[in-house]
Amino acid sequence: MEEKKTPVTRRDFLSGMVAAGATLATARLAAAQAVQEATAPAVISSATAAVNSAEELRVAMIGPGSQGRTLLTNTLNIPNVRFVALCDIWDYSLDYASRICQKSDQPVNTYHDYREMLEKEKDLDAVLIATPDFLHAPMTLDCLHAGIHVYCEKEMSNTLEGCRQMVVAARETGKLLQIGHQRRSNPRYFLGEKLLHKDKFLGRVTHAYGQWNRLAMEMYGWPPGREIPADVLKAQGYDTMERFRNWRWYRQFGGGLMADLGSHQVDIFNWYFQCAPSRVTVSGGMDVLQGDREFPDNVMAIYEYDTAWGKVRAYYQVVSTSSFNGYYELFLGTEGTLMISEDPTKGFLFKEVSAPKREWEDEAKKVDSMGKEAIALQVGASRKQGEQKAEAMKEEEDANKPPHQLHLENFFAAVRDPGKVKLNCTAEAAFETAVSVLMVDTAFKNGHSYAFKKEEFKA
Amino acid sequence: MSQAVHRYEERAMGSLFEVRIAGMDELTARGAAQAAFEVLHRLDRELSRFDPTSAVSRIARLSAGDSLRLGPAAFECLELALEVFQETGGALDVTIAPLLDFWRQVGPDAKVEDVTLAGLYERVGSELLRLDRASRSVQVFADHVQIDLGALGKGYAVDQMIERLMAWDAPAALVHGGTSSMYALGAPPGWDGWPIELRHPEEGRPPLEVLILTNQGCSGSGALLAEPGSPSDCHVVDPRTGRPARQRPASWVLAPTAGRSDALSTAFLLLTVEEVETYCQVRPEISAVLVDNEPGGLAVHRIGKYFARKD
Ligand SMILES: NC(=O)c1ccc[n+]([C@@H]2O[C@H](COP(=O)([O-])OP(=O)(O)OC[C@H]3O[C@@H](n4cnc5c(N)ncnc54)[C@H](O)[C@@H]3O)[C@@H](O)[C@H]2O)c1
Repeated sequence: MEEKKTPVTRRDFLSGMVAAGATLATARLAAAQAVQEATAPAVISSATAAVNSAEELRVAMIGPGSQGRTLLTNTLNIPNVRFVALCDIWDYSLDYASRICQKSDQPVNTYHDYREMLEKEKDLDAVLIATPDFLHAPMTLDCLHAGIHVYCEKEMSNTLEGCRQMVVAARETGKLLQIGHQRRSNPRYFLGEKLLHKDKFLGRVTHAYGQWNRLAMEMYGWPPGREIPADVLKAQGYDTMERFRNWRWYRQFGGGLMADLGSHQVDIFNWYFQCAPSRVTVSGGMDVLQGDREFPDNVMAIYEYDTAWGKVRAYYQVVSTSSFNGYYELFLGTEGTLMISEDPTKGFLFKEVSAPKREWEDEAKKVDSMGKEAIALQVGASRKQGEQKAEAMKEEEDANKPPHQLHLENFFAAVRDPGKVKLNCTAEAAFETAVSVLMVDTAFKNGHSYAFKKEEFKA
Repeated sequence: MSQAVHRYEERAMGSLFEVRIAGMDELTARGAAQAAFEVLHRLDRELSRFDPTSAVSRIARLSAGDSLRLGPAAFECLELALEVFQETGGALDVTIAPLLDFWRQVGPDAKVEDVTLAGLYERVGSELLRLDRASRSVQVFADHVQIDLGALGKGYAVDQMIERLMAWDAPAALVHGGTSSMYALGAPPGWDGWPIELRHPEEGRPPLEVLILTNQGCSGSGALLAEPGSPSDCHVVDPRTGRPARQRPASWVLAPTAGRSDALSTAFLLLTVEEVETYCQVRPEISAVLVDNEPGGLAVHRIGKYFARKD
């Protein structure tokens, strides 16, 4: 809803209305003005200067659908990044997203064909890709070869060949390619890694558990009259509007639940275990949902890892017919357990009574979780002093940014200064994860088990 | 086309939101409602005081002089809040939380010196916020300014949901958040608009008024009176004085958007009838119903063009 209104100046009203609280209101107005005068000039001028400076990154997005809008609104929180173009084959998405940009005073050129966009938009610094999985590889390749840095959503691709091409293209062009496993930029996940490896809080890590339960039984529809013309749809590889909207369920376009959801969490297994899995054993099927969906509506997968600690077994489940307890990961060791999630309310440490005591334990914040006392997983929170304190506060603030914003900030920082800032999720790292989840499909066909070969994880 | 009104509900922002759609088949209506609820949940995360990653929580962690770049929703909500703050001489102030906490602790009858309040005002007052359009950011002039968008967030969300329903070509829809803020789009088949009852502030009485609304936002604020004339529920902290004040039992506002009607319905609880009349003259797109406790009983004032037209 847009407002159309008669302009009212402050004077029109104040004269008649402010009387009630004149004394205090005037006093605090004066006080606020004093603070404004003391602090304002420096800050405002630097902000304005930066907006106009050459430092502003010019960015485009391909596929501003549901996830694209999340990336869009998160990027709009970041200073000195400007959207200049959007591309989508569907006008509904294109209109929706350009309105959001418009509201942030970032007028954009819109395109139906990303190749045309790459041709016409001459000085793009980066492209964000949030189209269905099967388009990631061709689009990423074209952008990288056009000399543009890319942030591409996971899954890298729905085929191993597509993933491989992306790794190679990033390597060959020397352009940046960040894959959208945003937990890799989350300070809480950095803290988890430190607790496992540096602090050895869990002792010998033996198991992991991960789940993503969500209720997603209905197919997506579209507004009447907003269909993409049949010939355009066909040319883009989609047979019907139904399939275009519900691409996740079909092999041609997506990778199934393990690629959609499992991938985020198996990525954490691989990261925290510092290696790729050696075997996966699976169960699941199309047990409840109806229709011509091609992927199981629930998957259970047991991964085996040969880690520096020794054997670790990790159970993962993704279910689309129940939302119970949402999504999180557990890491279990001989001395304790870590519960961690992108959902900040699910972060705890449980300690076994027999485990050695840490010097910070007494002062750590305790919470009740499932009837037991647990240590809250808190980033930065600290009694630290001086410089350390400032750093801890910055960490804490970072931990409280929207999760995708952190990953985008890491990407834009690397675009600005690739020599200094390293990407948190390179194509190589994401490739390991892609192989780990895409081979689940092979496991299903292979007697429900698959032994990974080491060289499979190298593109 | 089907005559049915399809209804969908979801919980967000501490309220039950409802979407009613008429003149559409059920499958399409469900898709449209789904798209509207997606927007609602996104806004809930962005505007909530309880989510540590929300814009509001991030502002509360800023120090004096700091700026924070905002996404469109948080920016538009603050823009509206500051505008209504100015237009009403501070009768709506989204930074008032520390004052509310203070009076909750000491009780409304406590004797409190001006200097004590002045201390609290170091962190209260919308003048402590400055929006910069060019950089789309907010700058704060005190440490840890707490913002509560409760007075207008639901209305703003209703507007954004309506925008989605319009993108789905819904010919007629009513969206409300916990019945306190709504927007009526078009009219259900056979009607001139969506009929909206204004509930009588006294329990068990027939509705004060039935409005027929089309393409309009409408919000109500106030307390349901336990007993006729009971003043206890009517105490609020007046952001203009920092002290408890008597507010009127109820106010309703009609406006071109639900965000604005939501914000004004809170402010109008504190303004005099004359002030509201002035407002509605300068802003003919706004109408209001005010209920006052008067010696002879409840007095109802109907103000603005909507009611002039009917007389
Ligand atoms: N990182 C995360 O947390 C996260 C969350 C959700 C989705 N995703 C990923 O984001 C991607 C998009 O998922 P979604 O849920 O937003 O899907 P979606 O269907 O809602 O959006 C896809 C968009 O791409 C557009 N599109 C399709 N083909 C196109 C083409 N040839 N050219 C240009 N645009 C085209 C569609 O019109 C649509 O607007 C997927 O890869 C998904 O795995 C990531």
